[in-house]
Amino acid sequence: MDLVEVRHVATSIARFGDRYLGRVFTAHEIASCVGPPSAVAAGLAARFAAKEATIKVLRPTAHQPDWQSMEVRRNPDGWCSMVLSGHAVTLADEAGIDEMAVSLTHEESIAGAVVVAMCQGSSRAVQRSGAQLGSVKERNTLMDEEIRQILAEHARILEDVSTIGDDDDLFQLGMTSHASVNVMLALEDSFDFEFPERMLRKSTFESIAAIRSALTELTNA
Amino acid sequence: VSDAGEKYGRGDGSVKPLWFGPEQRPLFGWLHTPADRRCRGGVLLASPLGIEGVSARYAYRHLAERLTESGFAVLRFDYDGTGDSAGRVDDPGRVAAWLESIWVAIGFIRTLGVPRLSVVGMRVGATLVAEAIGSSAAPIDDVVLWDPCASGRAFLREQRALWSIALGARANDDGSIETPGSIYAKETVADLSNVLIANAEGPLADGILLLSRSNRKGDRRMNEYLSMPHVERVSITGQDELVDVEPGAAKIPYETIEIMVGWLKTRAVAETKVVADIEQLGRSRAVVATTPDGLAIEERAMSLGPRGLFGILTSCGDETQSPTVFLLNAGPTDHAGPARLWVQLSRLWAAAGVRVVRFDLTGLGDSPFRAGESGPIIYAPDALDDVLDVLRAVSPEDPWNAILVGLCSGGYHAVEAALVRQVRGICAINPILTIKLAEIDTEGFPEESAEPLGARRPSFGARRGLARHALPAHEILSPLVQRLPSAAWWVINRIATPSPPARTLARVVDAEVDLLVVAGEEEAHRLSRGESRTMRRLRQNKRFQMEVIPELEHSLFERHGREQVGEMLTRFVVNHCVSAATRQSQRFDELEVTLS
Repeated sequence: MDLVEVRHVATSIARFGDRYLGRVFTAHEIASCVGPPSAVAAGLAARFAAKEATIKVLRPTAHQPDWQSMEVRRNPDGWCSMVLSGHAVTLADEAGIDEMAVSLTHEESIAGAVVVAMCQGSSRAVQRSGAQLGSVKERNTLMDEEIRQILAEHARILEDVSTIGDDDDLFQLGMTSHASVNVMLALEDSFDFEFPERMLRKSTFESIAAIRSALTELTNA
Repeated sequence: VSDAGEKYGRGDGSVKPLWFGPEQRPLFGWLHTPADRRCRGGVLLASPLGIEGVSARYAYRHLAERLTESGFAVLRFDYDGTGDSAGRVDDPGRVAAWLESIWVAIGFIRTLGVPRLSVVGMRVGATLVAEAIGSSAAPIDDVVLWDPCASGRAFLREQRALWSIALGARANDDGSIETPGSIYAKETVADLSNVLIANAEGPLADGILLLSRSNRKGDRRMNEYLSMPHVERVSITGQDELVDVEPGAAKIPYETIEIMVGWLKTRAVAETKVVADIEQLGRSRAVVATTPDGLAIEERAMSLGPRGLFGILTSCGDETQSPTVFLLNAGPTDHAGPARLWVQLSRLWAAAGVRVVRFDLTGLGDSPFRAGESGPIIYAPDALDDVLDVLRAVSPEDPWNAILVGLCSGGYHAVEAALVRQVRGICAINPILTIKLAEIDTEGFPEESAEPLGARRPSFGARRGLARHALPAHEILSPLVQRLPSAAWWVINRIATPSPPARTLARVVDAEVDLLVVAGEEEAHRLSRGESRTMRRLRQNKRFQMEVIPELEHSLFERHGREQVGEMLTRFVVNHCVSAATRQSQRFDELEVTLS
């Protein structure tokens, strides 16, 4: 899920015109947004939010896909889907994503989009931001997968993260204070919240169980 | 000694340390130009703040040198109240002063007559650059945003989290935020929180290079703002190894630096232009503060000894016969000292009439590197020669009338120097003395010789290398080792340790050198374990003073411990360098407050 302030898009259109439009949006997206300038800006802002949400799902680790490689395709019936091309397709394949559904909305000042990725061989819908998942067990399983993936990317632990026990001390396994801050930032990016000041302490990040406990508390809040 | 304001060359270019900007509030910087003064553009380097600035300093120096080799004039500088510039980090109006510093630096580099102007900013330095130039109509040709913080708030939050996780530090009641090596007042926190890259009202510059980490998504609003067509995005690696490690472990990201140099070259003009002679620009000495009595505290950039080491002499009023105080590097930290403590103490002590020199050893800070080196080398075998050369250069008539002050490796080098020359006193803070000191075995002081001491002890470096490898292992074993009884350490000291630290300290005192040791509990234990008799004998000697500070953070990045150490050092220096009459007339707590 992602939100965009409409005025930012309107300002960019006013300042850079076609240079901006041509760099960020496809011809289909531009043609889909018609009406007065404020309506055009709102429609494009919603599409920009959809592209941002898609990047969150695809999680590029090196080069970010071009904005135009993530196209919001409007169906004649009015509903929208996300059509990928180029590097975005590669990232989706790597993540095992078959299809992406998108929902757009906008008001006068703000536009938003929710992107849902449908994964291979499963009817499971993984909604990686603002997750509303079926059972507590399923949620915890997905949360653990997420935590372990983030630890693998950011904790700089030499040990295979998949073998780390829930209560193993991550700092004793080699995670430094600096690395734990990167873990914190990645968790915030992934789960779309900020750890409050009271949680900025070593004990919050000392084990997978501790991280899961903090995340559960924050997502339930 | 010579004035470092005079040009001295390094590699393919000329470089000059200088103060510039307002006379009453000078900024310090290093100006680099190609040797033939033919430039294709000018580049201003705006550094990160706090501990990230410490970690990035050698990368910035390398970037400056690479850009100079590629035909650019480069200015790297210290913001107001940071580094060697005037002012203090706790002065009011910090954010406005930092933004103004960027504009003053831009104005200064323009006086060279460069045909094109670019600005590079890293982390919150990039955020400040965007804020400064984004709210101005004056044109900047190109901007490089190097792993930028989306906002000042994001920067503070990351640093705050790091400090909380590392030390368990809690929030301050007065709204200020302490981060490693810095403290930001409530006003600064509020002002910095309003600095956002997405705030910029214009396109910032004709060309923007955004270097973002491959493993971070980046802030949505910043990404949105930087989706403009003239922004080139490159995903980089190496930031984790540069700013997400202890400063001593920071690695220069050569690949990223070459990306920047290459991009700026493609943006630069084809025709070079001869720019102004840097000899005619800036000032090699400056008044950086005034005493409550209105006396000027002056600093002078110097080139010291045969290797041309960089140093800054701080003084106030007439020359005195009192000992000169020398402040040594702490690990890879430059002459500004841990969290800029050396700068503050230099100015405080100078106000009391003491001459103070802070300087960089070979391969550290801003001193020349040895051939083939581009990063810091700590515990270098020839560091002792550097220290003695600097003492001779500053006071050729009476070189050993000196007090040496050092933290960690600096404490080691101070002890080392005191074992070969009878200086007046040394202050060693958390010194690491588990390394074999070759001079311990010498009888008396070695005779003066043209031959460097390092060359006369070929095994010295090898022994240190062994110690360097042994120390990390020792750290890993620490929980076990710390539980060993004192008697076990007595045995270890005699079998495995050529010179137990306590006996090294005793030799310093026996050589009639006054010695102040300041240590945290763990460091104090390591200095004294297994040597209770030696320690008892030391404590009975009036030349010896040892202060143990509970929970002292080793590198002095924590404010409370740093202030305690500063007070202890000040007492020692004042007692040795300031006459009783002057001591009575000065109130140092008030003096420090007014030095801003």
